[in-house]
Amino acid sequence: MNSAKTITITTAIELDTAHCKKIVAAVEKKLKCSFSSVKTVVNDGIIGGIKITIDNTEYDGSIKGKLDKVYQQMRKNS
Amino acid sequence: MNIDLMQIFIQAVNFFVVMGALSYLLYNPILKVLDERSKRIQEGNRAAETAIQQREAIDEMKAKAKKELEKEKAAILKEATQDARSSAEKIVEKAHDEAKTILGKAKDQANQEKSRMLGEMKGDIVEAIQTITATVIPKTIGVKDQVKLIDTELENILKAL
Repeated sequence: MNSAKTITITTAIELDTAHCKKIVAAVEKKLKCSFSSVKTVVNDGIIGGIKITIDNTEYDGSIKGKLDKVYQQMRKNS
Repeated sequence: MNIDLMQIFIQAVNFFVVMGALSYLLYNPILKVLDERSKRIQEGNRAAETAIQQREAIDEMKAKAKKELEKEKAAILKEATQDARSSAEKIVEKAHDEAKTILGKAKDQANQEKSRMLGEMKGDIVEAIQTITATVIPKTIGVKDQVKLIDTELENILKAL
């Protein structure tokens, strides 16, 4: 199992510890690694959903991110 | 009445002398003058005939030259007409091409402007949606729904990993 990875979880609401642990465990299981540092950030700018940053890689599942994607797509097609 | 033979003889001699003198001094020169006059008339006639012939030849040449000139004039006119027609066609074609280019440019500009406006409009729409969503969603959905949304998106992220 790999280690020494950092994970940052960004949500629009504050997560309780259990929920946070559940998210981290699910990601660790998927990536077969363990995170040395877990950071949670509350940012209502993302509107809803979740944004996960592992080291320097970002996985955006936020409503803001989806809207930005739509915007970029629209600009690309126009 | 006495016939003086001597007198007759003298008269006869006198007559012949006068006749000879007249013949020598008057008749021959007159004949010569008449002959020369006749020659001059003949020469004049010949000259007149030559002049008439020359005149006819000149007239013929003039007619021929006129005909050739007419032909040349017609050819020049035809060529000029063709040139003018060709130039006119070229000008019209050029004008068409220019009009096409201008129209194409105008269309491109219009399309670009349309695209720009559409892009701006879409940007405005998305911004409005973002603003509305950011304002409305937190108020309309509760913590439970937010948690559900987090779990759903987490599943999607895990699938993508």
